[in-house]
Amino acid sequence: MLADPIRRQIVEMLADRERDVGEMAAAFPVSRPAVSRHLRVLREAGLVRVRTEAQRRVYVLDPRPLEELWQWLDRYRGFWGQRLDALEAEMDRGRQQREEGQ
Amino acid sequence: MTDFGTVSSDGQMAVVRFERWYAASAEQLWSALTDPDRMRRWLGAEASIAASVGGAIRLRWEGGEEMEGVITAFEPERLLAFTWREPALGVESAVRFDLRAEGDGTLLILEHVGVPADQAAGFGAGWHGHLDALFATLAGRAADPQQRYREMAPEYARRAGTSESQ
Repeated sequence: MLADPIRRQIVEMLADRERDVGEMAAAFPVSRPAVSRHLRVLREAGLVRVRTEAQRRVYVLDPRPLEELWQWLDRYRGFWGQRLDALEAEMDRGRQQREEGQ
Repeated sequence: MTDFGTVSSDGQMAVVRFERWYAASAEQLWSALTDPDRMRRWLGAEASIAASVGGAIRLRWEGGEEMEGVITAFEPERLLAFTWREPALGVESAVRFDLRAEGDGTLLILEHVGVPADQAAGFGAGWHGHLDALFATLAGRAADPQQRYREMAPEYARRAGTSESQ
């Protein structure tokens, strides 16, 4: 979902502060309906919330799904970190054995 | 004046309801509700509206927000109802305007049902601003619904909060 560069840029803009669609659309070369569609995807993913102010819709970043993703990645970073350490130790041992064998 | 609308909510969905009396005929109010030039004056939006059930109603505000709905009731000088769809909110709600002759004026009852509960205060204060603007335009004065919205927003936030906790 965040593979899309416009959606990533929207998230960056909203990390700065809340904005309405007109303000965000002005920053992109794509049409306003296209920006609205990206916002819908982000809203359905729970990354963006909307607040009604009369007819104005104000978009706010909700960082919780990103934090969950970060925590999830963090766990696996620990997992892969250990595997990579083990791999490195294995390679060292192999190198040592080769050196001893010569 | 009991100009405030009510916001009732079950925690998920809310109903926003107004009763306003206007010193105007049902014909004048119907025109304000269905004539794009007059709609713009109090809704602050570019409007297009089909004069029959099943037709489309579109509102486009200057800030870039858009609403597109389908007319579900079109009874001149009595009842206008339509669905309210906007991409920003992802849910379909419904708006209904009832007109009833009362005294030497007309009672307008506005009901917006299916509003997400967490957006109800914004809709309540928003409609309050627009109905005040309708009053001003019927009297031939200019109106700023946005200014009224800002004045009313805290009160509707309080009301929406109260109804949610009941």
